[in-house]
Amino acid sequence: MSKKYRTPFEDLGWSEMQKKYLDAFKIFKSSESVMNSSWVNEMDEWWKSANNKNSHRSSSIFDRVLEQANVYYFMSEQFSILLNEINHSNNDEQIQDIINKKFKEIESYLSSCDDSFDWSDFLASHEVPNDLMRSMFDNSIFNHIQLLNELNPDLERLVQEILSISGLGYSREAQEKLKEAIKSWRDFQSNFNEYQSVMMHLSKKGLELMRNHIISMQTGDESINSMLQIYNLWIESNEKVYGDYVCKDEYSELMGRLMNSMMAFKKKSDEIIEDTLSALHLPTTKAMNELEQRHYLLRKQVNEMRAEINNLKKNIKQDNSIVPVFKKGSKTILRSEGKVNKKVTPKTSNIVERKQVNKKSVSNVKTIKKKNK
Amino acid sequence: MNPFNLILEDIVNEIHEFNIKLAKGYKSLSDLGEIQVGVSEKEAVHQEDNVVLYHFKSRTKNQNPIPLLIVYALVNRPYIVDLHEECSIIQELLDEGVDVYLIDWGYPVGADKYLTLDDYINGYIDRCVDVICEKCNRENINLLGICQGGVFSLCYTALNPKKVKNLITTTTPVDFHTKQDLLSHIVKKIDIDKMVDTLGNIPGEVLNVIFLSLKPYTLMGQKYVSLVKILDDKEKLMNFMRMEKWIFDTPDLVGEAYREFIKQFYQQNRLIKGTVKIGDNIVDLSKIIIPTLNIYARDDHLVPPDASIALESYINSQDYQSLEFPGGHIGIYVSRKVQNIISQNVAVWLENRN
Repeated sequence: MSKKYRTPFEDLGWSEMQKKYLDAFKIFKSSESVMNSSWVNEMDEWWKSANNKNSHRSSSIFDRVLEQANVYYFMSEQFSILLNEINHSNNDEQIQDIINKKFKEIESYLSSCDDSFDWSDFLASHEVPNDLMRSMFDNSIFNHIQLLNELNPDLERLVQEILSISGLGYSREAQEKLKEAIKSWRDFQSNFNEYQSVMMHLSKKGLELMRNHIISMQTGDESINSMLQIYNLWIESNEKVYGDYVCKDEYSELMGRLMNSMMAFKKKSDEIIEDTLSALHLPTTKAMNELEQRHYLLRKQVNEMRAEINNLKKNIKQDNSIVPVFKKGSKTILRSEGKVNKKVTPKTSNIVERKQVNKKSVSNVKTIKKKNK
Repeated sequence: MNPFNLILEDIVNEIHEFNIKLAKGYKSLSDLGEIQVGVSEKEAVHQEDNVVLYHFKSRTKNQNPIPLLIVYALVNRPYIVDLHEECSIIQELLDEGVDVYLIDWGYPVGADKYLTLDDYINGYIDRCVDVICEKCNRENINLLGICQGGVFSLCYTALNPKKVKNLITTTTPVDFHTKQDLLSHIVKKIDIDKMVDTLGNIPGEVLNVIFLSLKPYTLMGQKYVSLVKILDDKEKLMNFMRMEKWIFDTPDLVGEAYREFIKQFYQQNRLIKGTVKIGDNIVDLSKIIIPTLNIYARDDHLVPPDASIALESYINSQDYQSLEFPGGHIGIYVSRKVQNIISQNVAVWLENRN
C-alpha cells in the first residue's frame, strides 16, 4: 500500500493566496491592533482543512510546528507594522518612540490574553504545570480550573464558609474527605495562578530585554537583517530572563509549592475514588499496591535463592576439582581432580574466600530449613 | 540609526518562503515512514523482568579481550547510543575493537514500583556483570556509565571494586549542588516522599516536562520553527524525527528508586559526602582506585561540567583522566565528529589498560 498522502495544498495554492493577501495587506494595513493575526488565522484554517483529510502520526509534530509558526506569524505582523512606521520616521528619537510604543502594545496583548490568540503557545513555559497535570489527572479537571478562576469574591467567601462547616451524620467522614480535597484543590489553584502570573511577568521582562537590545543597536554596529533574527532574539531574551529566575531560590520555592500542592490534591482526590471503588467491591490502588509489594518481595526472594543456588553450584564445582587433603604448618597439600599430589604454597586470600563462601552456603541451608518448617 | 536593516518587503518574502517550506513539509513528514532506531546487530544474552542485557556483534577481527558494559540511565531509552548508521557510538566502539554489552532497563510497570537502587545496582547490574564474566571467563570487566547510569556505575564500582577493571563515566553528575545545576535547584523544595506516595511510579512525561522546562523557549518553541528550514531535506528531517522520538520516549521511573535517587543525590548531595546508602552498604567513592576516565560535555545544561569534574577529588585512583567534548548533554550522541573523538579515546584508553 502506498504510504504517500496527497495534501490539498501540494500545489501551494494556499501559499500563493497568502502572498496576494499580504500584498493587499501592505497597502491597506493601518496602525490599528492586529491581535486577530491574519497569518495566524489563515494558517489555522489551512491546518484544519489539511488535518481533517489526513489523519497521520506526523500530525502531532506538525501541530507543534504550527503552534510555533503562529507565534512567528504574530511577531512578523507586529514587526511589519513597526517597520512601516519606522520607514516614515525622520530621526533616531522618533524611531525609539515607535519601538517603545510597539513593545508596549505587544505587552498589553500579553496581559489581555484575548481569546483570539492562544498565548500559551507564545509562552512555552506556561504549559509546564498544565503538562504535568495532564499526565496525572483526567482532562475534565481542566474545565473546572477556569470556572474556579472566575469565582467572584462573594462566592469565594461562601465557599470558605461552606468548607468550615463540620460534617454530620453517617457520611461525615466522606464529607470531611471531600472538603479536604476541595481545600487542597484551592491551594493548588492558588499556586498555579501564582506560577502563571510569575511566568507572565517573566515574559514581559523578556520583551523588555529584547526592546533594550534593539534600542542599543541604534548606536552600535549590530543590526537586524531578517524576521528569523527578530524571532531568535525574542527567544534568547526570554530564555535569559527565565534562566536567571530559575537560578533563584524564589523559583525553587514556587516550584516546590506548586508540585507539593498538586500532589496533595491528587492524593486527596484519589482517596475519594478509592472509597467509592471499595464500596463497589472493585479493586483499589491500595489493594493493588499490597499485591505488588508482595510480588516484589517474592521476586527478591527468588533472586536471593538463585544466587544461593549459583554459589552452591560453584562450590560443588570447585570441590570436585580441588580437594584439600591435609594441612601441615603453613603448607597445604592439594589434590587436583584426584591425580597428582602436589605441594603448593597456599594463596591465603583464596582459602579465605572459599571459607566465606562455604560459611554463606551453610547459613543459607539454615534459612531454607526454617522456611520449610 | 535604524536598527532594522530590512524593509517590509523582506518580511513578506521571508514569511512567504516559510509558508512554502511549511506546506511542502507536511508532505515530507507524511512521506517519512517508520522511524527506525537501534541499528547495530545485537543478541539478548540475559533477561530478567523488563531488563535485557544485549551483546553487540563484533565488527572487527581484533577485539579488546575485556568486555565493556554500558550502563544507561533509567530516564529515556538507551537506543540513543545506537540511533542510526551514521550516528551510533556503539558502532564506533565496535569498529575500534571494543566488545560491547548494554543494559536496556525497559519500561517499568506498576509491579516494579518497589524496586530500590539496591535492586538496580547490587541486583540487576551485578547479575549482568556476572553473566558477562561467566561468558568471557573473566573476573572483571570494563564499565561505562552514561548520566544516571554513570552514577550507578560509580556506586557499583565503589561497592564491588574487584569486579570492575576500568571505569568510564560520561556526562555523570557527582557533585549535585554546583551553582549551575538547575535540576537540583528545581527539585530542592519538592516533597519527594509525597510525590512517590501519591504517584507510585513517576510518569515519564513528568520528567520530560521538567527537562524541557530548563530551556522552555528553545526546546518547546524555537526548535520547531527551526525545523521548518529542514523540512525539505529528508535526511535531516529523519534525524530530527529520530531525536524527537527519543526525547519523548520516556519510560516511567520506578517510584522507590526515584525517591532514593532524588533525595540522596539531588537533594542531600550525599555522593560526595560518602553517605549514600545502597541497601545496607554505604558508598564511599574513595574506594575507587581503578583507572577512571571521566567524559563530560562543555555546554551541558543538565549535568554542568563542574558537577562531573568533581569526581577527581573524591576517588583514589592514581590513574584518573578527564575528557571534555564540545556540545551539550546529548551532543555526544548526535555529533559524528564528537562520537569519533570519544570512541577513539575510549578504545585507546582501554587498550592501554588491559
